Amino acid sequence: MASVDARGLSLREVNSAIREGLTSDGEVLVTNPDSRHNLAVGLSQPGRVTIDGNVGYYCGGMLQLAEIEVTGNAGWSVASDMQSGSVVVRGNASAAAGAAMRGGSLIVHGSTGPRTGISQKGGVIVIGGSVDYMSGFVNQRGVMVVCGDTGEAFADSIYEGRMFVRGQIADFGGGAKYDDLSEHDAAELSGLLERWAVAGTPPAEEFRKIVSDKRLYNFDKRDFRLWRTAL
Amino acid sequence: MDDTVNGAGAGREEPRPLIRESFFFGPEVIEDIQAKADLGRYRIRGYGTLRRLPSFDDLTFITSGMSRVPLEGYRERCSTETVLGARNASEPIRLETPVYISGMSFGALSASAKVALGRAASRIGTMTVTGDGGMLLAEREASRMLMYQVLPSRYGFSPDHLRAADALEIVIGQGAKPGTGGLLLGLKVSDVIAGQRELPPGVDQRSPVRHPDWMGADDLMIKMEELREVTEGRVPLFLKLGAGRVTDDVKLAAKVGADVIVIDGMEAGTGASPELQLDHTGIPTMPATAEAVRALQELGLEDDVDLVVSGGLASGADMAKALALGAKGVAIGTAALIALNCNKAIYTEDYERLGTSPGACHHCHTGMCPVGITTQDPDLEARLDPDEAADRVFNYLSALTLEIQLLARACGKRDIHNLEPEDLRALTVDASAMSGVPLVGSNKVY
Repeated sequence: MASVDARGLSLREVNSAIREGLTSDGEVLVTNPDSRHNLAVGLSQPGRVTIDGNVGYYCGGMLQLAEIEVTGNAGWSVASDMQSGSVVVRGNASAAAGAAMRGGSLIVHGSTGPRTGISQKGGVIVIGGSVDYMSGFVNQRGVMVVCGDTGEAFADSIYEGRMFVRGQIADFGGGAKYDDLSEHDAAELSGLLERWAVAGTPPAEEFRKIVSDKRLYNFDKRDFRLWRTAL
Repeated sequence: MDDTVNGAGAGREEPRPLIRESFFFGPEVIEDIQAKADLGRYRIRGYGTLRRLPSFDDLTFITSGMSRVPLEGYRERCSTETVLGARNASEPIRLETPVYISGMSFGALSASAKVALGRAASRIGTMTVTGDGGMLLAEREASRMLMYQVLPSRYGFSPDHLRAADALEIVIGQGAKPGTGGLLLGLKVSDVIAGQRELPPGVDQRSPVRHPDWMGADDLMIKMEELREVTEGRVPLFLKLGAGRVTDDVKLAAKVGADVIVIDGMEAGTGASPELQLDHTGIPTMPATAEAVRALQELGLEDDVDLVVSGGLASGADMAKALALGAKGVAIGTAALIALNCNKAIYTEDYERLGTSPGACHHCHTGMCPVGITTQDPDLEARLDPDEAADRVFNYLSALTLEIQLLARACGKRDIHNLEPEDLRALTVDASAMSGVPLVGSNKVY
């Protein structure tokens, strides 16, 4: 395993060393991340990266193929614009975790801040704890699993994504509704919870499913009350 | 019986020879109210504002005479080379002309239109820009220089496309509808467009206006660092702003490290927008240019951060005046579409079917563009031959470049970027006050 001590290196040097380590060893340990921003961004090759400590903004941004694990907490927008691969955060993550991700898996064992999974376009987000307000906003595709509670305006303006929440939903955003948990959903959910071993792997049956009610897909003047909050 | 005061005929008048219309409730206002009474929402349309606004036409060049020596208009060299983004990028953009084609999405535009614009730009040595919805590979192939937009929606966003770009543009706003995200009505969200944007086909697509992963300037600075990491500092970063709070926005954009700031004035066009935003938000390009230049000067960064302006620019005169005020480059959208064939008097029966006519069409939002530019309908798109359309846009870009040179030479400049505010005079007190250029006849700035 290649090792990169981030302390004393420029960001460009750290990220370059991570790429080189993935190429040479297929596995990289980054020590002393010191909550720096933009660690391990734009990786586009397979392999494992372990960041031992806390990271700042955008860790794992635009990720392709690689598997990243952060042993501490993550700042804003961890794994934003992720395309494939995985990012696992052992602690908590701040706002906009998984923003605009199109593929791959984001797993946060703790809780996340507001706007978790905003503009998600694909892939899987699993949160072991709770998510704050406006999480799931404009979700287009993909799956979001929340083992704890949600903040206000959850799943506002979602399109084709599926969301599963185990705890309390403070408030639905516009255009969201409960749906029946199908056998397919339950099997998929169980698989995800077992694979990532979050929140003690609760049974799928304890989750409720949320999808779009599709009323915001096209304007309808008869739904003025809905559109007044959506526009 | 007397019928003129209180009798049976009181209130009856002879027909008036002149029919008077209300100033406040004239025909346009009546039509607008009744349309909204039917729609139950704001009106949406394409193109740009139809209002008369202060513009570059309110300025004029004072060319050479006894006190200045002109260049020979058709012989002496006058450079048009334009370098953008050398502040931080190891590979800044090098254009043969200061004019490039601004971001318009594949979705708002047909693929044929995007390809034609790319071919024309490549032939003259300038750049095109992607748009909401990601990079169309055919556009990448057609464009020697292509700038990739990083938009709030992130539709179709790909790091592979990011790395394949020659420049990146973070879109914070657009002049046609500053403070609002994009719109693509269901008629234009075809299967292909829906697939590219990861949306259900046929939805009225309302793009987010705020970026999902940053909120303010401090966050943006970190986001820009991410973009530079992914591209290893190779390509310049442009920040595009709708012209509004220009002074503060430009200062923030410069401070967070933008290589190029793009100011898009309220005359700018769009594929679809709430009409009231076209007409009632933002400020015009001419005063926005002057304000942006002053903001950079106040920071002492006017030589480091390049300024590009866009919005309603149509002639070489507009562009030369923008350069004289301090812009390094200019971008065109609507004008390029008009060169493609937009609003041309062909297929007139289809204009009539839309309830409009050539020269007054602003129905881009319907997806039923009679000339195949702002449509996803294969039959309509087939009306635009990409090769012939590219020829027209190439000719137009050539004409613009020659016009800018013509004015620069007349002002005695060997380089179009040597045009300066001193070469200009304002034709109105208002224009003088807005631009900081002296009023004709008085040589005073108002």
